[in-house]
Amino acid sequence: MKNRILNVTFCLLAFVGIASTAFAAELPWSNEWARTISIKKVAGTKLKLQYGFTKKAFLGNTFAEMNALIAKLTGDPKAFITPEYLNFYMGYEAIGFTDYAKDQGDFVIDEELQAIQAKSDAGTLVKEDFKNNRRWIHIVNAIDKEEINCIAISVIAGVTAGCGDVWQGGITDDEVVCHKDYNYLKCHVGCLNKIYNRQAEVTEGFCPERK
Amino acid sequence: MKTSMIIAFGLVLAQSAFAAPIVTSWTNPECATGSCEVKGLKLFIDKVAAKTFSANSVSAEIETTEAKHLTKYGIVQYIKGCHYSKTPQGFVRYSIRNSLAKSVPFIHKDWEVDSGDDVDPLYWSNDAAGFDDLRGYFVPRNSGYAYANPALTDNWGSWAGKMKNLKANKIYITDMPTPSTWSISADLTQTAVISSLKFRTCVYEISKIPTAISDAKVVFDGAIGCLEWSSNYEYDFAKRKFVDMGKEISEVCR
Repeated sequence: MKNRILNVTFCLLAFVGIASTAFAAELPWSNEWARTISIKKVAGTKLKLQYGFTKKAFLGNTFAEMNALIAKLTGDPKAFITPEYLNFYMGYEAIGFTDYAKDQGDFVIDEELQAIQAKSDAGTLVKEDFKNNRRWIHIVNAIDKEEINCIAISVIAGVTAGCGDVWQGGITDDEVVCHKDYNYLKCHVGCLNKIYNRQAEVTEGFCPERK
Repeated sequence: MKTSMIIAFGLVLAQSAFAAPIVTSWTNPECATGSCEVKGLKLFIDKVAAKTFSANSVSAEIETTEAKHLTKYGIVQYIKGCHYSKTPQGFVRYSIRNSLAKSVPFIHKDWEVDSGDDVDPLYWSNDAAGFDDLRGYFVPRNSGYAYANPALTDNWGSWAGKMKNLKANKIYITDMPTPSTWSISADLTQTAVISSLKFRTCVYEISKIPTAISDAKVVFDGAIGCLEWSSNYEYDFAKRKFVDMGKEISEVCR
């Protein structure tokens, strides 16, 4: 089953706060609201639940178009931004799959999200709360430029590099691996395997769901 | 290991305010008498100023005799002084800051650990330090330290505990404290927010620094070497300019 995993592009456009007048490429949703759900690192091991709401009418651009705008605004033709880079910059621990709805008020906060919210508010949310849960993809936070250039960058000087924008179009089972009960993007783990010349112990696909 | 704390104010370079940083340095005397791992500590101090703000920023450099020693050493920085707002009529209130991930009044009457958003007293610590299963190596607690001097180049990044990232046997942290600022409203009311701060930047063996503290009012034993610097700018409302007070902390901070 194809999870409609967060299309970080549009959520992160909101964070960057760029308003573009460029025309949008065809998007998976139109005239709908998208709710992105992210788990952000706060301090030490503590985590926080965050929602982002975007609508195509406000942010209807692909990263390619936004990069072109950034390059224009900064005067640097090599300036770029990608979902992975923003994931890295924003310090996310995990991303949950995106929901879509006609109106912003139509989104459901299910039991799981309520429980996570309660822990987030209490300051007791930690990584272990997301074990064996298909809903969450954990982010490999790049720790230096070598890793950034593979994990977090999708375009360098106009040439596709690294993992690219893995989030567009959703995440499928063959794009995920399980490492110690947490789901990771296969491409991100592949970057680490290449950089460190080893094979991290993983199993293919999502981790088994907790019972 | 010798635990005496040696504070040196050797002025190596004197440059115009914006041309190059002022450098102060401490050299480990143990290196002259026997083997040492930490060669020295340097501070590169820049003034950052405009009509409405002034502050000093710093890059601190740890140099070791061999690159492999760099995983073992890090910075604990102590802070003294305060940050407050005032008008020509006088003191208004202390600012608020994050200290050990809590909001506290921005006043430190005596030396305290300078740690903002986390409870680890090691400056710029990596809270995910340890053996990394995905990467297959031991990520040191100082992995976020820079491999090049941010005061001298824009081309720097985290060394990540990887020898191949190093340019020399040196790693760096930077700091720019909240600046002193000045503003004037439409009705010509002037307000200044004063940063009257001193810092003591010390090198320690990382294994001797706890990973968490609950009270910032602590000074750890075992500093290998320290240097002091300040970001301490008063505002002269009459002359409408900032005045560098050096290490003389404002009375309201004592």
